[in-house]
Order: sequence, then structure tokens, then C-alpha cells
Amino acid sequence: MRARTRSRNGFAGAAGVAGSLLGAAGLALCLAGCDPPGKGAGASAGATKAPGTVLRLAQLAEPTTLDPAQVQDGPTIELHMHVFDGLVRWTPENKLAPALAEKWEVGNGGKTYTFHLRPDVKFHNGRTVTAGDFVYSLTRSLSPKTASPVALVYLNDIVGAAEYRDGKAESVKGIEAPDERTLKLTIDQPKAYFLSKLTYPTAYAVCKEAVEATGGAVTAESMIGAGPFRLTEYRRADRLILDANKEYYEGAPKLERIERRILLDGGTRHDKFTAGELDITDVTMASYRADAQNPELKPLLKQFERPAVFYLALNQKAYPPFKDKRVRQAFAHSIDKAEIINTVHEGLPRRAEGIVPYGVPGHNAGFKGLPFDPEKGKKLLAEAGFPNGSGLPPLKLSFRASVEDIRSTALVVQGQLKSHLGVQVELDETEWATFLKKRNTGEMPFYFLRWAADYLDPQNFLSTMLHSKAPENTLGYANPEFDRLCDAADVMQNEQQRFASYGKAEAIAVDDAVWVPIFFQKDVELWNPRLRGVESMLMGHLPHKRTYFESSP
Amino acid sequence: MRFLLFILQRCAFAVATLWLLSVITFSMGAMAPGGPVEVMLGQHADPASVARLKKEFGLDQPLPVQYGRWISGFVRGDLGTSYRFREPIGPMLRERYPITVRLALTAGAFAVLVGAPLGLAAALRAGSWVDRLATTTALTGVSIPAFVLLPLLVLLFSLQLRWTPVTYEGEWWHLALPAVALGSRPAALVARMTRASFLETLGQDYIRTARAKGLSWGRTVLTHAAKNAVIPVLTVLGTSVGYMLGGSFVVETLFGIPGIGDISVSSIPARDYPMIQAVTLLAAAVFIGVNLLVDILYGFLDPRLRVAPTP
Amino acid sequence: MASSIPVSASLPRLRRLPAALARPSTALAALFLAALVVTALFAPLLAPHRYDAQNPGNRLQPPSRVHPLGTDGVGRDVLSRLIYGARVSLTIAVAVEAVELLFGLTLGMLAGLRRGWLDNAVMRVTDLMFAFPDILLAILITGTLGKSLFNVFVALALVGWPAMVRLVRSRTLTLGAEEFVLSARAMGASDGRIMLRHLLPNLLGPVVVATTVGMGTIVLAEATLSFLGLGIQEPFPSWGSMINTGWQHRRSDPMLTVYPAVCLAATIMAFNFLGDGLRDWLDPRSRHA
Repeated sequence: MRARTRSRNGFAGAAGVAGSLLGAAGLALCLAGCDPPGKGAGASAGATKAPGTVLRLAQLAEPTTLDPAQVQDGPTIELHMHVFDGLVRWTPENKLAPALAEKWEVGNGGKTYTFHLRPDVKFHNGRTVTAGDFVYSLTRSLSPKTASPVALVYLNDIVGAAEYRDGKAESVKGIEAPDERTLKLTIDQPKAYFLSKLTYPTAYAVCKEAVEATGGAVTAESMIGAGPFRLTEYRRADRLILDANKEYYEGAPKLERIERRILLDGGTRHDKFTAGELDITDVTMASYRADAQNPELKPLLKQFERPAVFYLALNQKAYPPFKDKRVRQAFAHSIDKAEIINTVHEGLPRRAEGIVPYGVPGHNAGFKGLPFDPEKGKKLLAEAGFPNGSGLPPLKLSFRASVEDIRSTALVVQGQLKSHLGVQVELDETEWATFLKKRNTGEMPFYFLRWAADYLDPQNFLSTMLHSKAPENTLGYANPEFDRLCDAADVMQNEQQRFASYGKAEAIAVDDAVWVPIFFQKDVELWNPRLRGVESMLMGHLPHKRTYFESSP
Repeated sequence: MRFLLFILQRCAFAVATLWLLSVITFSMGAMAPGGPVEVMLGQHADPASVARLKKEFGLDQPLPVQYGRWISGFVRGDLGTSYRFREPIGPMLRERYPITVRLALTAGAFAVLVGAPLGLAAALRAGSWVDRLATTTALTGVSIPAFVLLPLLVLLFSLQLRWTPVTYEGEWWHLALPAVALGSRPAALVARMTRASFLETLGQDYIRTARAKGLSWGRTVLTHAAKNAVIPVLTVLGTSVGYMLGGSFVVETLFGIPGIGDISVSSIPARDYPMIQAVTLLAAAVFIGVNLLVDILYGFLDPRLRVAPTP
Repeated sequence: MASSIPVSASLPRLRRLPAALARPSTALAALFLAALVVTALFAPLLAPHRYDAQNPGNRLQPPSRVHPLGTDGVGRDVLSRLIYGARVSLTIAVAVEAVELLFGLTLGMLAGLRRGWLDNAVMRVTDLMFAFPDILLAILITGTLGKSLFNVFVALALVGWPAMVRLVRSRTLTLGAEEFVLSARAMGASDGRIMLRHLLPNLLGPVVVATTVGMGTIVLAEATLSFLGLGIQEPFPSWGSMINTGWQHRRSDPMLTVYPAVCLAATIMAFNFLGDGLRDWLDPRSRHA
């Protein structure tokens, strides 16, 4: 920024000399064996791998952690799911299937899960996986020493989990291993969605002796699991190299190796794909617009629904006019969802009428939410005592900073509220950490945010986010009928009844306009045309167990 | 004896400055809304989880205690543990520093190789069209920001011509584009300083004497003028490189160079206080250290300056 | 009598003015900046559209009669946003520079004149500020206080004032040793009087130059912050954030990046060229690059 030239007289050279000395020292540092990361692809053994057996992917950011007990973000989860395996897994049909547990029984009124493990599964270091390993791994996830931010989100239903985490117990009561091949988990209430929470990395099996050899933390050396690939090399800020686990219980993967290159910039990832250096890459809206018109790239584009909803939140705790349902509904009726989807988002994502996204079990297919109806909106606002928006205190629309698509959406929403409702809101682009804090304290009156499923169940969208007693609910929303329906559905065992109950609750919430859902997330990717066998489900790609390259395009 | 006192005084100042900086950086982190716990928990931050994680990270302790713990570790060489990566910061920075140094040195080399001849030519042909051209070029170089120049260079050389890869791939010559973008400003400064300095030196009496004695321009310039004229140029170069050694944030982020700048910038949104503090203090320590060396060198070379403050 | 002592020794300056301005680069720069100021002042009259008039259905359009430079990601007129962007850049430049001048002149003159503990304190504090990596400081401030014109102003003013203080102090030291100041002292003139009547007129030269160049640097700094996503809040336009957004859309329309980049570069260049020309006129003894 500022040039700080200090004008000294003839002795000024000393400064320059000192600076150059320091530079020379730095140079010596570099040359003396501190090889910078990523020095030449040829340095690795990968150069000898036959073409067509190495899958080259991009990782959007440095992996946040190598410890499955801690992992939170999608890109890092994608890494972990190749190296580790858990009790159950997802199928491409969005159903749960056995993984390391070949079968299980649910007993005691839905509160006990008894898993029977496969006998022939081995960790990458050759040792067989036992029930004891799961006891160790689950306990470790919940340990106060591990201090995992996510463990209690996914494992809190297990009896004794919170007590153990808070140091009030020596172990977790609800985790038991009657014998080497049997694992028994007891949960506090008959929650049908518990099983899907076990697909998350907090329930992956880690190798006890490896982890303890590295002091209880999972490092590149101790990242040993039972998954289809093993981590052979981790070059910081450059790439991760995963080699196939030939002993994998489902059979060796067809690929020999997966290379995950760390490329932070979306444009760079895209350029590398077009240069033939990546096999799969994500596509931003801005890129999509150009790619869809490019005859070479258009056929390579693939779309994926994701279980996430983008919505506007109306916080009555922080903005008194929002206490009146008519005001909230007026806002809802003034949002032209079609315009937002078709312009800023290039017509890609699916319109959201309700809250539970498309593809999530329990999604209400025919449901219609509050329609775009500016006349009705104006009428409601006038009825509530704010004709044409006059008398409304100033309102800010907050949204997450530095994401172009979110910013554009907020701009369009601002424009729509102005032209359809006559209400001028100010924009408040907020940096993520600050945004989170303000949301947690409930001080943002009006914001645009995304909620992505932790697990595929309507419970995660309705009870977790909008129940009056839910910690995530900082909007001051409390509807007794909504609460009642959710409480009932949370513990029902019959799926049809559960979803019906959640469906009624969803309708209430949408009518209450506490959230105005706008669209469900859709991801776009570019794929190498020779890729086959890639399996995907709603939450993301599945491990590349059966992926391979067609030899001819 | 007085000189010893002088050195001690300067050292004491340096340490005091660094200490003050550490307090300021720590306080700014503490005052920032939202902390590492909120970022870690994301949207799952209920009060119980926040309290729990804070306790586990020692963030529920009173601020002076937290500061004390951090600074006592720091002076012993323990740079702390990153909240974001849950790993020791020391090794992470050690890995990343060489690449920042490489970039800074390459940019510095570019600055010298382009700036010095430009400035020299301008000085030797002062007032002519060569001079005007060189000066204008230099002023242009000073004006175009790196984050404007780099994307334009990338658009041309990487995407259109395909001469270089789009990001840093490990080879030193991949740094060419970012080095040019980063070094264009220093190059301009070097050019201008070279010109000004040589003009002043060449106007001196002893040069005219040498010329009168029959020495050619070339020998005159090289043997007599250069020695003195070069000193201020080294100053500018040293300051620029010293500054770049602190990490050139924008260029690293744009070009995907895994250096110090890149990680320190991304640590702010993540509220990774230990990382921010470590990088800030390191950059400041380098800067202060260089200045300390210079001050001592001055004091050694010119006794008068030991009494009077430096200008 | 104080008034009979010469105030300064550089009257011939005014006679050199025409020569200084005759240089094409300086004259052009001055003209450009004047035009920029006019644009900023009369933006509402000059801009064909409002800077926040969006029309999402008409986004990312190429230049047309209605939109001479096309439209951006939500259908706003690029030309109008460039024009209003000039306002932002100049406002920040002037405001920050004003603060720097205020601090710089007062503190710098006092420190250079009085010496002693005040001088020491000023030197140490500015040393401290210099040691802090300035981009980090600016990012810390705006990143945590939030995006707004005011916060950008605060961040840049905090980062920039030490340089001005040091410059003024250093010149004051030199001037303080000159005859006219020493005589004034001997006659019993107070510090304030010395500062106002004797120092200030002589400092004018280097300070004007530093201010001019400084404004160019501030424009650059604001653009950098906006480019990093930490500058002005939407929908207010800033050239830096326009470059940021344009870069996202570079595949659809690369010109969205080029227009604000050219404006930015031209403005910074103009400040630098003008400062250079002014330096030759007002401060010929300077060895600054």
C-alpha cells in the first residue's frame, strides 16, 4: 500500500544492504532443502501410473482437518469418505445400506440399535476392524479432549453422550460392544432418523494404535481407515494423493489413484479442466452462463440437486413489525422467486415452495407456498398499519460477504421489495464470522441464508430450525401447533405418518412466513466425457469405488 | 561505552515495540465480533455448545490470562496452534515462508533488472525523449495496482497464449507473472531513484574532474559515479523487498501461491487468532529487526548519529 | 518586529509556475483530475441512470444506446456506476488526506520543533505503526467493523497518518536550523507563531506534493480493500468492488473488469503525474523517488 521510502543520506545503503542480507538468508533457507510444496509432479511415483487409472479432482480449500471426528465442510468430508468407512452408508437412491455393519436390529421400542459387523474388513494397516474399534472411535469423537464442534450434532442422541463430553462420566453409557463383532448403541428416544446420522464422519472407524501413536491426534501418518482408498501423500497447499485399497471388502476400486489438488480459485479450477488437467470441476453461475453457450463444454455439464434451501429469515425478535403475521406475509408475497432463479441463477435451481428440499424424504411434492402476489402484499401491509411501507422503521437485509451469487440475490430482493411493496431495505453485507455471531444472538432482523441438511430427514429442517425450543431458532418464532406436530413426528416410527405430520407442520411454518424459502440448491459440474461409474446421491458424490475411465471417448 | 548504551537503548526500543504490537494484535482479535468458536460451530451454535468449546479452547479465561499464556509460549518459540487447522503454527509457516521469499526475491530481481537500466538511461540522457519515456513508464508502473495488473497478465499469457500455467505449480518460472505484477511498482521506484541519484552524483565536482582528466563516460559512470549513486537505490530496493517479505497478500491469493500472505488473509474471516498474531508479529519482527540493524550500523558509521535522533 | 523578518526565501517559485504546468504530462494530469472532480460533483446530472437501478432480466448486456458500456450482473448501467464510483474514490481520498494533514502537520511540526519527549513519543509510535503490516490492519478493521464508507475511512486514516507525520517532522528539523527560524526564536516568538508564520509556508511545497501523491495511494488502497470484499457496502459503487465482481464474470464479459480497472489506473496515474510535476516546481531539492 503506502510506499515508505525513508530518505536517509549516504548511509542509506546500510538499509539496503541489510534488506538484501535478509533476502539472501531467505534464499539460503529455500535452497537448503526446505523444498516448497508441490515441487514438480514428476517427483512422485505417480508419473509411472498408467493414464486412465488416475482420477484428478480439485479440492476447493485446504482440508480443514484429517480427523473425521472434527470435519464439517463438504470438500473435506469428500476426502474423508474415501479413506474411512462407517457402519452404514448411502446408496445412489438416497437410502441407507449396510457398510461395515452387515446387518442390524432395532429393539426396545426403537431405542436400541444392535449392529453385526462384517468379519472380513481390515484397516489399511492390515488389522481387522472389530466392534471395539467403533467403541473407541465413537467415544473419541465425543471426548472433551478431541473437542469436536460437530460430534454432539450427530451423536447426541446416544445415551450418556453429553455427560461424557462435559466430563461428568468416564465413558459413554449408550455405547457397548458385547463381543468383537457386535456393537450396541442405545439412544434416548425412538428417533427414526438416528441411523442416517451415523453416515456422518463422526461415526467412522479410526485405527486406535495409529492415532495413539501420533499423540491422540489424526495426522497424515495416522489417517488410517478401512475405506476404499488410503492416503499415501499429503503435500500441504498442493495436493493429496490417495491410492486404491486393494483389500477393500467390496473389492478393489477400479481406479489406481485419486489426486485431489488444492485449488482455491473457481476460475483456476475451470481453466484446469478445460486444459485437460482435471477430470471433474465445480461450475459457478457466472461460468455456467458462458459454458452453456460453448458447444464443446455444454455436453459435459452435469446438474445435481442438493438438500439445501436458500431462504429469507424474518426475525420478530429484532424487528417488531415482523411480529405481525400480515407484515411477514406481505414480504413473502412481494418476492418474485421466478425472477431470482431465472436471472441471477440462470434458471438452474428448483423453486422452493416449502422448506424441505426436493429429494429429501418427506419433501412435499405438490405443496404450494405463498405465491408471488404484489397486490395482496400491499393490501396486507396496509391492513397491518403500514400503507406503502410508511411507518416502518429502517430495515437491513443481511447476507454473507464475498459470495457473488448471494450478493446478486440480495440486490434483486432489495429491488423487488422496493418495486413490489414500496419498502426500501438497506443492504448489510456481513463477513461470515460476524454474520454467524449476529445470527446466534438473534440481532439480525432480516437475512438471507442457506441451510443444508446434516442428514436426510425433515426433522433436520423443521424441528431443528423452527421449533420454539430449538437452539437454532433465534427468530423468536413460536407456534404451539407447529411444535406439537414436530414433537409427535420426531418419535413416530411409521414413516408415512411421520412425514404426514411434518408436512402439516411445514405448511404452518410457510404460511406463517417466518422463512421465505426461495430455491433449493443445485450444483453444476463439468465432467471428463470418459468418466463412467461415478455414483452420486443427494448429499454429494459417493466414494469413487466403481469409477473408471472409458478407454475410448 | 556510549556506543554500547546506544545499542542497548535501540534493542530495548525494538523489544518494547514488538511487545506493544503483540498486545495490540491480541486486543484487536479479542474485540472482533464473532470468534473461532462461532466459526467452527457454524449454524449449530447453541449457547451450550459455544460455552463448551470455549472452555475446551481456553477461550473462557479472562483476556489477560489468555494473553499471558500465548505470549509466554511465543517467546519460547512455540508459535501456538491454529484454531482452523488444529495444528502447530510453526511448521506451517516454515513450510510456507520459502515460497513467499522466492516471490519477493523474484519480484525484486525484476525490479532491479528493469528499473535500474531504465533509470540509468534516463539520467544519462537527461532532458531528452529517452528521459521522458523512461520517466513516464516509471510513473505508469507505480500507478497500476497489482490486483489489476495480474488478472490482465493472466488473461493474456495464461488463457490466451497458454505460455504459463494459471497457478503456481512448483516451478520457479511459474512465478514470472506474479513477480512482474508485484515487482512493477518497485521497478518504477527503483527507476526513479536511480535517475535522481545518478543525476545528483553525476553533477558532482569529482565526476567533472574525472571527465576533464579524459576518462570516458563508461568508465566514469561505472567506477566513480556508481559507487555513490547506488546507495539510495539499494535503500529503495531493500525497503521494497523487505516489505514484500512480509507477504504480498493480494498477489498470493489471486495466483494461488501458498505463502505467508495467503494464509494470513484467510485467517481473518476464520478468526484464527493464533495464526493472525503469529504472522503479524513475525512480519513486524522482520521489519523491526532490519531497522534495528540499520540503526546500529548507522551508529557505528557515524558517531554524531548516536546522539541525535535519526532523521 | 516579527513582520520585518523574511518569512521564507523562496519567492521566485511563482515565476516558475508556467514552466511547470507547460509540461504536457502534468497539464494533462491536472485536467484529468479536474474533469474527475467535476464528474464526481455533478454525477447525478451526468449519469444516464441511477447507480442502483437494477433490471435483472437485462443483465450482462453488451454496450447499447441505452447502456453505453453495457450492464452488470443485476442489470445496472455500468457507465453510471463508473461515474458514481468516482465520487466514492475522491471522497475517501479527500477525507483521509485531510485527516492525515491535520495530524501530520500538527504533530510533525510540534515534534520537529520542540524535540524532547514529544519527539521521542512520536517517533516510537510511528515506528510501531510502520512495523504493523498495513494491509492486515486495514483488513482487520473493516473485516470486523463491517463494510461501510466510514469504516474504510477509519482504516485508511489509521494506516496512513504516520507517513505524513514523519515527512513533516523531517522537513521541520531541517527548517528549524535555518536562519529565519532561529532569529524568530531569538526574538521570543512562540511556537505557535513560528509554526504558522514561518514553518507552514515553507512546508507547503513538500506537503502539497505528498498530499497529491498520497491521494493516489489512498484511491489505490480503497480499491484494494473493495477488491478483497471489504470496502463499500452494496449497492454503492466502488471501482475496486466493480473489478472484483467483473472478475467473477470474466468469462461472460471481460470488459466488466477492464472499465473500472482503466478508471482506477488512470486516476492513480494522474495523481502521480501531477505530484511529480508539482514536485519539480515546489520542491526541487527533494531526493524522493
